[in-house]
Amino acid sequence: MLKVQKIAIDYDGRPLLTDVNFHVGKDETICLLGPSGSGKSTILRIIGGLVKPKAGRVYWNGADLASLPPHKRSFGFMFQDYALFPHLNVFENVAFGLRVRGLGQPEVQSRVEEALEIVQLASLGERSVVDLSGGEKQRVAFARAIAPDPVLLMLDEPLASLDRALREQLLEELHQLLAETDIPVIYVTHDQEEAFSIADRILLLNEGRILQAGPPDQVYNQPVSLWAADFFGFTNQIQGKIESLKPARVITDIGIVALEELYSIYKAGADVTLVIPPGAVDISNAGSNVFPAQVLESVFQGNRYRVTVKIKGEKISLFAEEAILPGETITINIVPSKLLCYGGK
Amino acid sequence: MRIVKNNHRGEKVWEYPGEVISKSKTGYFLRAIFNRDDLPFNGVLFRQGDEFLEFYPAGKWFNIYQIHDCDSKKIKGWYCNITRPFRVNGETLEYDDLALDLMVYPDGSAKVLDEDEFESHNLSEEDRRMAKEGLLELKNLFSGSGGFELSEFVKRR
Repeated sequence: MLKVQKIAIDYDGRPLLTDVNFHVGKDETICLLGPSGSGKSTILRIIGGLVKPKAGRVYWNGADLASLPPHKRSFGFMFQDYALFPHLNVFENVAFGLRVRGLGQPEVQSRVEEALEIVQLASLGERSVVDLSGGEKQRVAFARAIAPDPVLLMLDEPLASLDRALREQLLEELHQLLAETDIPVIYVTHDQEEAFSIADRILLLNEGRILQAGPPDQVYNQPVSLWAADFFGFTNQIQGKIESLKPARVITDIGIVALEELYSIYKAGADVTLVIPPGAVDISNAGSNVFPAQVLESVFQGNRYRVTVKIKGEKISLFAEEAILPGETITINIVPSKLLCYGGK
Repeated sequence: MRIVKNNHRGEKVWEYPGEVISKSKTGYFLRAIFNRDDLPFNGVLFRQGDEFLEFYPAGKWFNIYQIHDCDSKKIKGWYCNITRPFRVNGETLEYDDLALDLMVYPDGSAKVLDEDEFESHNLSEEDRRMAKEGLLELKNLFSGSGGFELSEFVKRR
């Protein structure tokens, strides 16, 4: 399958990608997740053969692709906005790339029919793409991408330009389409929800480096750095100083906070930042880290409330099933096993 | 902006005005109007007044003209020149045409044109190699496996 080894490239004299290593296994969907400018699309371009890296190699089934031109790599692409041709109907949009490749009409016909069958648009071949719904357009773009029978599919921010409601709907459809094909997929996005929904494995990128790789739940629940925690939106952060490693305790402005454990890389007295995921806070008066808290606001989020409380000057958010009135005093417990601790401030 | 087409020796053979739609690190997008008499060309009739949306990708060995009929505005095809990378000097965009062309029809069928002329030119090995790579890249763009720039182009219609 695909192996990317020690890829590096500069842009305008500055490193754009540094020591990028990963692989994509058979049937696997991996997601390159990171903010804009982190180098995600450049990785796709290098894999596709459109950009030559300064260093590093791309292998397919063990073979070095360096000398293989893009059109011989048999990789498929799908883009933001889908880039469908409005002057062509559904069938012709899917057929277009096959004809450019010089395939004869019988093969074009059978491949297009097969691709439209997979995306369940076989009956809409004659329909103008202009008249299609967003979901149907996405399926045409997907059919077009798989019609040449690619060995690897690369999707570059396919949903980035859509409004939230449509994005959620199409995300679900796309997830199903990807599950129905056995083509390995590299999916690029800056949106963590998309990444978590689509990926078997996430590669988190920042400033051209892969910071973390793993299954979505692991990457989300154990961000490898404070930057990663920030990226995932963990805004509950408290500065502290390590009181002791065993038991693991940190002195903070809200009081002493107990953790499940502190690794031996930390030393007593060291400055640390505690990150408290909203899901780590219970409204409870039992536990290792019980604090009285004053409610500042409750914000309705559809299926729950995000409640912001204040503990001795520190603001902390938590999730609650019901709204709590501002000004009320409640007791919260911070679950030690869900706390995250990072060195430095 | 003036668009100047040179031959492979860098000698001017044609020039015409174009309106800049956008310019970026990706390249230049220009709009020009076909100002010659109607011209049948490899199965397509170029008509006086047809709109040419011209994409000059930075550093690439080709350009792409997306041709719209002057009346119906429908796409007649994509005419692609294999060239040395374009240069811009003030208000002039200039390129050296290496004769080799790719014509892509609206249904996706494609034809490589003027291969004999290309072969007959006295070109350096580097020019020949890059021209052939440019042609491969063009086919790749249109076939969909790597159409990053084309995707941008299509969106600008």
